[in-house]
Amino acid sequence: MAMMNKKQFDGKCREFRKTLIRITSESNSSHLGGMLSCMEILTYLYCIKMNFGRHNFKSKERDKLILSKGHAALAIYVILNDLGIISSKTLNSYCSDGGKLIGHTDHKVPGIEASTGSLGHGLPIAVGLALGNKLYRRTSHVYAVLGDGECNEGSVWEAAYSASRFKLDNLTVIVDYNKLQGFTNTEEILPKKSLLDMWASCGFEVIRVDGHNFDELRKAFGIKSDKPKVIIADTIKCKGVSFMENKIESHYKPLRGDQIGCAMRELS
Amino acid sequence: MRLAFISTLAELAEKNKDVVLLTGDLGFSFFEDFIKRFPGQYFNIGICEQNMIGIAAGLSMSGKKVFVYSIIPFVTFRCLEQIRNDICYHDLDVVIVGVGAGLSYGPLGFSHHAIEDIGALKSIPNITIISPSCPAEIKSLIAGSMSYKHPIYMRIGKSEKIDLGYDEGSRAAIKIGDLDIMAEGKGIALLTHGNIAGEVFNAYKKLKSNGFDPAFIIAPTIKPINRKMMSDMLRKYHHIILIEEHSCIGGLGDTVFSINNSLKAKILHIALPDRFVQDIGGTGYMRKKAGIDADSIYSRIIEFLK
Repeated sequence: MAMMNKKQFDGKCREFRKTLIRITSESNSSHLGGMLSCMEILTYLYCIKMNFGRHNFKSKERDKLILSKGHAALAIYVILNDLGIISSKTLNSYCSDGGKLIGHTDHKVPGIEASTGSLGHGLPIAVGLALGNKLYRRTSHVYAVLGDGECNEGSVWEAAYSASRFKLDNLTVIVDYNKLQGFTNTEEILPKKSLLDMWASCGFEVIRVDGHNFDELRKAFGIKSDKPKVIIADTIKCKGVSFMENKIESHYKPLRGDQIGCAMRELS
Repeated sequence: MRLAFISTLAELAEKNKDVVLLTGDLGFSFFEDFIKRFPGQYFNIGICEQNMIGIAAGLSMSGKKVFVYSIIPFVTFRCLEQIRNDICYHDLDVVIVGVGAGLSYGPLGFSHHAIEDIGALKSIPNITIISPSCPAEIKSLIAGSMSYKHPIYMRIGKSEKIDLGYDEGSRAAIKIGDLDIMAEGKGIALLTHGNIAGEVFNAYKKLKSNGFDPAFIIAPTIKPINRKMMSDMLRKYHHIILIEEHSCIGGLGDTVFSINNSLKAKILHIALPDRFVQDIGGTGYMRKKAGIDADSIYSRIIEFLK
């Protein structure tokens, strides 16, 4: 948790993006597109909003974040390194032989709450954590970051109506709405109108933002509600790498060769 | 057996406010007293088992001792990935109690039969699988689970009265992993687990009255089993009859055969065949048709010993 202005925030996100490009390319690993689309969301939460940091990441009172779209884990690992919770050596061992970081979230990594990777698991866990906070009368908050394609999964909706029925006003869901999923656009499988209606029908306070905009994120995370909240963040897959934005292949392929240099120049 | 579970849980819930019970919309006529006494420790999550397991994981991570309850197929096959990823990979202190082991739900048909559950779960790391044979074992093992701290799957019967020839109060506490040697014998041993033990005990009595001297041994834990106790038993008896109300694939049988690999006991495995049970009738009728009622067990043993 820290004070930061928009310029500092955007600068931080740019640096994180460069690190993501470098590490995914070096490890020849996938999911860059989905990491870049939620960079501002995660940076805002970990670096500004959440009661979470090197001083308290094991404390019972900390805020918790579940990355239900676990394949974007490297985006959190980069932040945890910046916060001093994991070392650069650990970070650079991502997806490497004998390394310490797998290509999804792993609770064995300091600072990671739960291991995810199979879509649809994170929100039920987040509901359990938020319910646990209520039972123990802890005032801390639980955040769950989901993919838009992930909202195809039935277990997401089971958890959603549970969150509402347990009156979990200490839970905020963020949907990284980058409009692409594994092999098609999200509109084909679950249209946006249905998605918004479903969250509202499940009893959530639905808030829509530009997921790359500091001011809109700040406003959205500041909204108080007696219902669980869902922030539908309009984002761009592979945001920040202009020639790969909105492309399904950015889910699968790291940047290669000249692409890396091009991207780094764009982000400078 | 359901009553033994919930009454033991109530004793634990009274002493420890961190004990919570999650149910998938089941418990009618059994859970009412628990709900009345411990409303803050009971949650009917609804008919959404994948969600229920995820919530159990989150509550456990928060510090609760979580018990999850439903009919076996719904709390195993339905949410297998959640058990694997959310509970077992995290090695969480959660007890999953499935009711209706084997053919307990008899005439309701295949969707409610539990004959592949042990097989489905056994290869998941970190899981402990328990198949108690009677109320006394349930009481002992549920109480014992409080200090266990790892994922447990416990499959229990329904309401049938199980008579294993002893007073309930006289059973010593059973340790997770151990075999329970109910009676020593000579030459042959009957080995079983779960609520089929009642049928096995009747077969045991018939063998005794016909001049045989079999041992009667119960294995309440399927995984991890006390391998030394199992090897000792396999060395001591030259004819072992293993009876389980589970498929011949994936139950305790695989474990016993593998431990026996370097030993020489002759083993007869009485279990359910590798097909869906299509007979229609009560549990007793279905067990007879499947050859796992007391009389069938007895006849098959006589044939084996020839």
